[in-house]
Amino acid sequence: MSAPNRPMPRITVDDAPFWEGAVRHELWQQRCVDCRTYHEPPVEACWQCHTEPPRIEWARVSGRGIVFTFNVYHRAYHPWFADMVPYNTAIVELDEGPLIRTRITGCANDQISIGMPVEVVFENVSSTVTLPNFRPAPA
Amino acid sequence: MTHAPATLLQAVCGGVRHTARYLQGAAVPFKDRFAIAGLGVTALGRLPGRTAASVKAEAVTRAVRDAGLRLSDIDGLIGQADFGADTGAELPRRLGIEPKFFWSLIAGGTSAISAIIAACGAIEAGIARHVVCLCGSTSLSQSVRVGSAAGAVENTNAAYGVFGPAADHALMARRHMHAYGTTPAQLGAVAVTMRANANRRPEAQMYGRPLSIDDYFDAPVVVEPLRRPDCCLVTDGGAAVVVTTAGRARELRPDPVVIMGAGLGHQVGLSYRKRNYVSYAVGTAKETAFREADITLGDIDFAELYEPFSIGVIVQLEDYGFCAKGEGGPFVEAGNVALTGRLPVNTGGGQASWGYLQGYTPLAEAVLQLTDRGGDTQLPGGRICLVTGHGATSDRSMNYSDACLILGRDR
Repeated sequence: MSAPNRPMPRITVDDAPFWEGAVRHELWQQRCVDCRTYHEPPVEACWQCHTEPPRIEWARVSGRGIVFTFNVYHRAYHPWFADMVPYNTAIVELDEGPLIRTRITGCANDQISIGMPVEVVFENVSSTVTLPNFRPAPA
Repeated sequence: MTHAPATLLQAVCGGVRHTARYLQGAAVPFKDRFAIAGLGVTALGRLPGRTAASVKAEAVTRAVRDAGLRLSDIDGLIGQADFGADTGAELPRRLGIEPKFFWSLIAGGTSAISAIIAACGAIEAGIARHVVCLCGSTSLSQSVRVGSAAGAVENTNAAYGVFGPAADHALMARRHMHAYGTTPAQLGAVAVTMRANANRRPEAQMYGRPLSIDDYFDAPVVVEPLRRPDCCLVTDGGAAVVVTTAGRARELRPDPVVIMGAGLGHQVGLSYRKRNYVSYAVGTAKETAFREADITLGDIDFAELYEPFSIGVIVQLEDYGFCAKGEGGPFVEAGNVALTGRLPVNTGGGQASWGYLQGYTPLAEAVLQLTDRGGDTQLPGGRICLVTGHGATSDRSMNYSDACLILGRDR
């Protein structure tokens, strides 16, 4: 029996700039042209300003943020993750505002705390897919 | 329609008010015009050898019998999405009936309440007279593990190892603990209270399996900070209700469960305001339902809350206003939501101890209590009940839709 395949992100026309940026080790986020509200995940229209017609653009962000919340899995819901249990997932609040789903690397799970400063670190998964993770950063 | 006006003046005034509301664009008043005339619930737990279709058919049949009707009286069926591959189609064929419609209404945890509202709409439109809203599945026997994925998966959540609603509710529990000092013992108090209720109800899936706070802390962690007793069950079983006009329900039984008011609402702004990990999108749903029912929070005698995870009870108590924001944990810990407390919650044990029928868990329990079938957990003075539902966690953000239903004894 072959090893389980690693679950991969679903890259669509809506969020291609995010994933293309990640391959270049850059963090990009979608935002509203008119009010600069960031949208994560991407949208068609802006909840904040409701400008018609909606205008969106992509901008590179700093890659810095803080841990907004996190959890730690003690069971595997997918066989690829079985050997990683216990593993964490997190929501990071980027300095520019949006909340992004990710994981915290570079420290033990019990060292993660809400409000902890973090910075993006890129994990090359394949030739076309790079995952943005976050690690503890100096304040 | 409601009672005939006693005088010509009342008729004229009623007509003027009615017309004025139409001119303002308001819907026809909803308050007290519809009712639940029957409830059916199957056995709960593991039902080996059953199919989702047979469970649904049984739930519908029980509900129709409970209403004193025949299967052929059903003009509409509204089901919901259930976990597992066996979705139980062909219900009209299996029941030998020819209703006007059979919808699947898919709206996550707001499905049950949404189905009730849609049923009322179909009745109002003159399409149907008796509509059955139902659910039924064999998730447990099919070994459905909500959130599990074995094969090839391509989505961003999965790439980070995010699976299942426990994940997002764990994120919520952690954030709530950080923001308000909610403790693991307070989460445990929710689980312990619900289990105590279920242990007085022989049909409950966790009947005969007591849970103390020590047992809670001994239980395995699933997704930190949630332990197994914090999480909803996986259940074979089904439930159905018969919705009709209040007048028709009074013909059918002496104790119709009146739909006093209902509300729905999405609040994606909750995530933009970064409140989606400490609050549910209660606002619009609550406001509509309470306005329509013309009651205040103090009129609620007990609450059947949609709570697949313990944190959900704490958050909803706060967001509905039964206690201040951040005080839900202490509110539960002090015993306020126990059967003898000032606001009994989930009197049958809820989704973690009675059985997981999604939105039909709180709905069925409300109907049982309001028709004096709460057995050993029957509340002596319960007249008005708050029933809730909230939307499924969406792809990459916490759930932000809500449903609110106010049910009451005939007044």
